[in-house]
Amino acid sequence: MRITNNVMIGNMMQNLQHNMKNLDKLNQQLSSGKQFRFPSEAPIQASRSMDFNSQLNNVDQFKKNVDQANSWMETTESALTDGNEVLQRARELTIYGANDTMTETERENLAREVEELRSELLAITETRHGDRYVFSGQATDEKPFDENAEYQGDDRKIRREINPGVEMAVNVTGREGFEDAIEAMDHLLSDLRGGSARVYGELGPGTLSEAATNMENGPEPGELDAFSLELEIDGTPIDIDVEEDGGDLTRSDFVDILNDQINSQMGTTDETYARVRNGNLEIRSLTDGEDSEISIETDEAEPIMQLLNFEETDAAGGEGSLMLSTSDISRFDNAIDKNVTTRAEIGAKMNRLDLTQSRLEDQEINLRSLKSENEDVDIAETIMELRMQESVYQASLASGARVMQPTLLDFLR
Amino acid sequence: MNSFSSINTALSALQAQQRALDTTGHNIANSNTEGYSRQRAELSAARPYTSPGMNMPTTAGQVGQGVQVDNINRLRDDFIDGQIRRENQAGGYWDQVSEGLSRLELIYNEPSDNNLGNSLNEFWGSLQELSNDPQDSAIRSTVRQRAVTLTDTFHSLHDQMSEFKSSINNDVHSTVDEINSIIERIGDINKEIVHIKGSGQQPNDLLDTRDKLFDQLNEKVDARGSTDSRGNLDISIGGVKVVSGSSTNQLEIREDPDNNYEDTIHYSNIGKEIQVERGELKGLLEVRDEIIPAQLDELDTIAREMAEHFNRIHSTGYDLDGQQGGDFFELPDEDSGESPAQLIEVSQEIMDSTRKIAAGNFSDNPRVAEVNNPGTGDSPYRYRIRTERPDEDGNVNFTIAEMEGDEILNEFSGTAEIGESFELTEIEDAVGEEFSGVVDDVTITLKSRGEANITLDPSEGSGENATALARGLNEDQLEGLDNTSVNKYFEGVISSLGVDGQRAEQMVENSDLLKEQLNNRREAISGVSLDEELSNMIKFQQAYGAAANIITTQQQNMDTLLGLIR
Repeated sequence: MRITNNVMIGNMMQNLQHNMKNLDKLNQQLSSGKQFRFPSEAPIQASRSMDFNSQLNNVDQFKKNVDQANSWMETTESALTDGNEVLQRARELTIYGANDTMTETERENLAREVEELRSELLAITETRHGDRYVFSGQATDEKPFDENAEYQGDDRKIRREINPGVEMAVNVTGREGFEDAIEAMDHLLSDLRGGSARVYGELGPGTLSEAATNMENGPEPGELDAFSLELEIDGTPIDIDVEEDGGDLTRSDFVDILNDQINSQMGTTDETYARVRNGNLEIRSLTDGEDSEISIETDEAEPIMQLLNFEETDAAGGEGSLMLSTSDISRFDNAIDKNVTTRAEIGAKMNRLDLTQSRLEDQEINLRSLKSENEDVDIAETIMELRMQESVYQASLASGARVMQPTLLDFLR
Repeated sequence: MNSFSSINTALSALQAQQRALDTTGHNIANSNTEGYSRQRAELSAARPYTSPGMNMPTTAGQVGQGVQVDNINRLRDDFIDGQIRRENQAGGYWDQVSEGLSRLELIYNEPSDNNLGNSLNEFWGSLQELSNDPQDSAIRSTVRQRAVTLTDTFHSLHDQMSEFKSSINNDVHSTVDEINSIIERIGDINKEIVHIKGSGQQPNDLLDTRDKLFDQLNEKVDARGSTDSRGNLDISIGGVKVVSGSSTNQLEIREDPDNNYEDTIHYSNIGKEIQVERGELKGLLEVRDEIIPAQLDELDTIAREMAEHFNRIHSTGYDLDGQQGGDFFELPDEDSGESPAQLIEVSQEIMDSTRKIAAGNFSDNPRVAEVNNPGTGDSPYRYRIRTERPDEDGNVNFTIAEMEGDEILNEFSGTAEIGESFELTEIEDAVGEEFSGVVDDVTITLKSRGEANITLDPSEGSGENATALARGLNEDQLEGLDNTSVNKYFEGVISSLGVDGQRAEQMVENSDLLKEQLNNRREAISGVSLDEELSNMIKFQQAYGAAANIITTQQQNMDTLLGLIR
C-alpha cells in the first residue's frame, strides 16, 4: 500500500486519540473511585449497583426498625418488672392479712396500702414509649385502663418489619399484661373492705337481643321487647318497666334506664346504682356495710331474668365477716406467673432481635463489600494501568515526533 | 527532417515538463486539502514524423517529435468512494443514536444519589418509619415530602425528555437545511462540470468538490448517485430523485399537527414523506420517534402502575380520623391520553392534611387477610381469622371467630379462594344469624397462611398499612410491570438502556475504525505524498534542464553551421 504523509499523520492522530481516551478513562476511574459513570459503560454492573443500593437502604431501615422494636420492648419489660414488684408486695400483704384475725382498723390500714399498690399498678400500665401508651394494643393514644380499671385498649398487635417480609409483634396488651393483676387487687380490696350488697349478671356488649342470641338456652330475642323487673333496695321496692323496643337497647342504654328509674323511685338524683363492671351488669345498694340490702323479686322464668341470671351477694365487711382466703393468694400467684411468662417471652423476642440486628449488620458489611467490588476501582491496579498507559502515550508521542519530522525536503540540500 | 525540428521537440519537452511541474505544484499546494485527489499529467510521445522521400525513405526510421500532455487526470477509486459513503451513512446513524442514548442516561442520572431510584428508596424508608410511629405528625410530613419529591422527579424526568425531544426536532430541521444546501450546490456544480466537459476539458477540482459534497450528503442520509455520460451526478434519496442534472428537488418540513415535536419531511415536488434507512437523519428520527417515546412510555408505565397500586393499598387502610384512605396520588384519566409521569401529583387531600395518610389497617396482618371497610365504622367486635396453607388450586381453609376480649363468641370455618373477596355478612348468613357485630359492606380478602385480627374500630397506633404501602413499592409484583416490583422494573429499564447505549457506542467505534481504514485506502490512491511530489519535481526539473540543453546544443550547432558561411 502506498503510504502518504497524511496517512501517517492520520494514523498517528488516531492512535494518540485512542491512547488519550484510555488515559482519560483511567483518570476518571481514579478520581471518581468508580469503575463506571453511566450504565452503558457496564450495564450489568450498573443494574447490580442499583440493586445493592436499594438493598443497603432496606437493611439500614430494618436496623432502625429493630432498634425501635428493641427500645419499645425494653420499656415494656421494665414496666412489667415494676409490676411484678408491686404484685410481690401485694402477695406478701395478702399472706399477712390471711394469717390472723385482724381488727377493723388493721384491715382498713391493709386496705389502704393495697389501694396504694393498685394505683401504682395502674400508673405502671400507663407507661409510655415516646408519647404512646405501650399497653393499649394499637390504641396507643388511649390509656389502657380507665378509672374503673376497665380495659380501654384493643387486642391488636403492633408489628415491626425486621427483615423483608418478617414481622415481629412487639407489644403486650394491657389485657395480657395486667388484667389478672388488677383483678387480683380488686378482689383483695373488696374482700378486705367488704362493700355494699349487690346483684349482678353477665351481659355482653351490643343490644340485649344480640346478647340473647349469643347465649346458649337464652330467651328468644323477641321476648325482650317489653319487660319489667322488680327489685328491693334497702327495703324500698323498685319497679323497672321497659315498654317497647327493649331488645334494641344496648348495654349502656339499659344501664341508663335502670339508673333513671331507680333514682326517681329512691328519691335520689344522679346516683349510680347500676353499672357495668368486669363484663357484668351490676345493681347495688349505696349503703355501706351490713345495713345494705338488695334483692330481686321478679320470677326467674321471666326472659329478662333468663338473660341476666342475676346472682346476689350479701353485704360483706365488718369484723370477722370475711377472711382472706387462699384464693386471694392463688390469684396473685397466677398474676405473678403470667407476668413472669410474659417477661420471658419478651426476653426471648429481644434475644431474637439482637440476633437479627447482628445479622443485619453482617448483611450490611457483605452488601457494602459486594457493592464496592462491583463498582469501586482497584486503586493499585488502576494506578499500574495508568502508568502503563502513560508510557504508551509518551511512546506514541515520541514516535509521532519522529515520523513527522523527516521529509525528502530535509535531504535535498 | 530539418534542423529546427529538434528545437521543436525540445520545446514540446519544455512545455510538457512545465505542465507536469505545474501539476506537482498544484498537488503540493493541495496536499492538506480535504477531498483533494492528486493529479497527474499524462504524458505520451508525440506522433512521430516520417521523413518524406521521392521513392522510399532515405533516412532510417521515424523520428520522434517530442512529448505531449494528453490529459491531467485525478487518481481516484470509485469503489472505495462507494464503500466510504456506505460507512458514512452507518457512522452518521450510530453517532446520533449513541448520542441520544447517552443523553437519556444523563437525564436518568443512574446510578447516583439523585434520581428516581433514590426517590423511591427514600419514600420507602419514610413509609417504614411511618409504620413504626403512625401517629407522629413529623414523620407524616416526611412521608408527604418524600412523595412530593418522587412526583417532582417524575415530572423533571418527563420534562427533560420532552425538551430533549424538541431539541432533536430542531436538529432534524437543521439537518434537512444542510441536506438542501448540499443538494443545491451539487446541482450547481453539475451545471459547471457539464459545461467544462463539453469544451473537452477535465474539471478535476470541481469533481473533487462534488465528491466531497456527496460524501457529506451521505453522512446525513442514505443517498444514491449515478453519473451520466455528460458528467452529471444524479442523486436520489429513498428512491426519489433529488438532483437531476442541474435541477434539484428540495426536502421540506411539515410541522407536527399534534405539536408533539414529530415534524415530518417531504419531497417538495411530489409531497410524499421521505423514507430514509441510514445516516444522521435516520438516527435523529429514530431517537426522536422511537427511543425517546419508548422511555417516556416506560416512565408513564412506572408512574401509573406504581400510583394505582399504591392507591389501592392506601384505600384498604384508614387515616388518623378513622376514615378509609382516599387516593394518595392523583393521575390523569387513562383515556385522556395525558402523560401520568408529567401529571402525577400527591392528592390535594393529603397536601391539605397529613392526617389523611392511611397508615392504619383494619387487619393487623394485611398479608394474611386484607379488610376493606368503606367507612361504615365502629363496631366493638373483633374478628380473628386463621388461615391454613393454601392448596394447589389456591383454595384455603379458614376459621373466622367473633371475639369479645379474648373470648370467642362465635366461630365459623370455611374454604375460600386466595385473593377472593367476600363480605362479612355472607359469613353471617352462612352461620345463620349467629354473628352479632356484623356491619354491611365490610369485605375480607384472604391472602396467605397465618393469623390476623380484625377490628372495625380504628386506632391511631395502627401502622400496618404503612408497612403494606412500603411493600407495594419494592416487593409486590405488579402485573402491569411484567410481574416485577416497581424498583426492579426501573432497574430493568436502566439496564436495558445501558445495553442499548453500549451497543451503539461499539457500533460507533467500529464504524470509526472502518472509516479510518477506508480513508487510508483512499489516501493511498488519491492522497498527496510530499516525498513523491518532491521526487517528481526533481525528475521534471531535470528533464526540463535537459530539454533546455538540447536547445542550447542545437543553437551551438546552428552557430557552427552559420560560421561556415562567414
